[in-house]
Amino acid sequence: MYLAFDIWNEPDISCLPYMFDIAAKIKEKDADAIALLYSRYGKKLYGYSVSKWKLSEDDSWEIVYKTLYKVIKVIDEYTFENENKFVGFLFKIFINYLRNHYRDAKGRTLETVELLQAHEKLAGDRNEKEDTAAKLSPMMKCLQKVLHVMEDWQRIILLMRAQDYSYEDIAKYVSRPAGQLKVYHMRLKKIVTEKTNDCINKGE
Amino acid sequence: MKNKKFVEEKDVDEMLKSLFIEENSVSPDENAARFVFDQEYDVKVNSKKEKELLRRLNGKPNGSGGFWTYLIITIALITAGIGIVFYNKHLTSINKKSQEHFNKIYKNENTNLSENASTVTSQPSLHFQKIKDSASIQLQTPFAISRTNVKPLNNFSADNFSVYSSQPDADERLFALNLFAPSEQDFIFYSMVKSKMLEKLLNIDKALYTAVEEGEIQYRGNPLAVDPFVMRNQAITNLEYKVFLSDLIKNIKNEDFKKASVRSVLWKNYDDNTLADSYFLDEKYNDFPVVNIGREGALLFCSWLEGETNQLLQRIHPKAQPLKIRLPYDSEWIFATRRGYSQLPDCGGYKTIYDIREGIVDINFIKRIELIKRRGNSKVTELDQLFASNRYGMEEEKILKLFEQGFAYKGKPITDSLYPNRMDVFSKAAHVSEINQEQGTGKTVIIGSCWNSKEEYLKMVSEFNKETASPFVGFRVVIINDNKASYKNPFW
Repeated sequence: MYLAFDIWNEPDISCLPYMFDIAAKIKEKDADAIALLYSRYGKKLYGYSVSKWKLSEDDSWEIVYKTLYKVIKVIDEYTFENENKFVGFLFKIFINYLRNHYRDAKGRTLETVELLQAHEKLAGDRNEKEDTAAKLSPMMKCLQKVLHVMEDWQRIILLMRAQDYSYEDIAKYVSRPAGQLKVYHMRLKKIVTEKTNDCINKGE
Repeated sequence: MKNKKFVEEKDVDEMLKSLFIEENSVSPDENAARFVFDQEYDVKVNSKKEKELLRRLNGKPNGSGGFWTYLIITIALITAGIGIVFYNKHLTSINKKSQEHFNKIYKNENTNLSENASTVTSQPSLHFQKIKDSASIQLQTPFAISRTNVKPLNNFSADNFSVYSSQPDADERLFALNLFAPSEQDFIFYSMVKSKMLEKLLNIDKALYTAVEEGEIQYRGNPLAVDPFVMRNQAITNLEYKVFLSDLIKNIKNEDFKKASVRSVLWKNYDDNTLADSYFLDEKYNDFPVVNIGREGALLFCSWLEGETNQLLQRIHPKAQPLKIRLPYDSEWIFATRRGYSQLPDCGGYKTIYDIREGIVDINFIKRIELIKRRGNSKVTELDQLFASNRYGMEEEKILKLFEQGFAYKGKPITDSLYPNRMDVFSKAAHVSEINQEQGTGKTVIIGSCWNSKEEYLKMVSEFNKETASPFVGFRVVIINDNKASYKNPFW
């Protein structure tokens, strides 16, 4: 028997009961499960949008709503081996809406617009075949290539630092002292810049 | 060339963000998602907006008011009321069982002790009172539990001990007996941690477990086929062992509880008095390897973990074959190390698992290890130095400093739950030798860790044999899918 959902005022997803239960309960359209879905993931996504992507509160609420609504709507069509799969699925939906938001707010950054212009369909309706056909600019393709040959921890530092996560937060994931991450990060950025330019220059 | 646009370092962050969105919108990186969900965001949440969102998600029209809202609130209140009543009953039942359990254990202990120390009999009531006190708080606020307000364990304080100061033998016995006495909130917390432990095990979470493919090694002069197995990456921690002990208490397994007890008193044999009081009970050491447990305790842990895991497995996949969980064979340890799955500290001293003079492994194994070490030399960190520091015979002050370095490495210590990254650091800062079974005979073999000399290692082993436990010995587990029919997929 699991504890009542109300206890998770400040949800820590790391010590909650199994994902299998929440997915099953959402499928049953259980109101408690919807509340849990929000408290466990929606709230975090809201914080993520506002603090890391600098979206307005209203825009963030809307994206979180769309994400959770989509999850609830389509969850019947999926089964999840474990919680990580579910989390990945939910995150993908969220990121798609986030991306659409950026597409709509054209001009935010040149690269973002360039990157997103090939995608016109609604985020949740895209499928992977279409996705693989996504057109990245040569510059982004080079960056992607450079990033993919890096070690996991290096990639995490670059990607998460770009989103303004603190070195302390990142340090927990890369098993390296927070004090050294700044130096690592600066070096890595330099390397990425050089290698990306090399790649562009060679026309790879 | 003239049309090419180049990247400037100042633009890299924006590009990385774009790439992050692009990649995760196609194929989500589960680790990145985990990272995002594991962070705390310092953002104010507007409760009105929150309610509005939930209302929309539940498909309710806006402002249709009165009657339905009233009805829902009434139903929710009634449900919550019923829930609280049942929950209280449940807690009361746990409390009763716990009290009975402690009564039984301490009653037995006190019977044994009574010849030497009749005053000892008053000790258990202190624990019962604590359990009662915490239970009564719990009953009033059953839903107010979170990891931030879970009460600390009921440590065995010096004040409680003062009554027995004139009875050193009794004092020793009480220390020898595990004084682990969880509160009601602890029970609930441990049960949540247990869920997480089992989930990570069944998912073969890479941060905690490694799937080792089958292979062959040279073992004691002969070739030996090693079946596939899943090996734990770090030693079992204090927190995991507390979860296990709390289950024994809940299930009133008195004898097992006594056999599995953590004999913190053994720290005192090495003049480590602070650690004797704190290493197991203090939450700041939760992610450190559990020590001072004997082979019997380790086997009971394996058997408990196996039972719990299979129970869950059956619930998820009713047709699944049960898994086996046991102490590793020395051959498995050697094999995992040879394949580079397990790390070994390098202190330049005695190697317990690959001493070629004793014919444990062949020359190729040594070459392989040397290769791994050479590759790793350019990346030696402070953590590797901690890993290579043997604490045997070290003054307590120095040991505590080493542990502090471990804490400093991971930032301020957090004491709430299983965090593999922290476990990884602490399993190195406080690394231990481990209880293994000898392949074929099943005899206990203590291997791993880093020893200055063979003499030092043998001295520790003889002390372990004498006391059947040691502050320098812990254990890890391996998981075997013994279902030959699914041998092609040995990792379930």
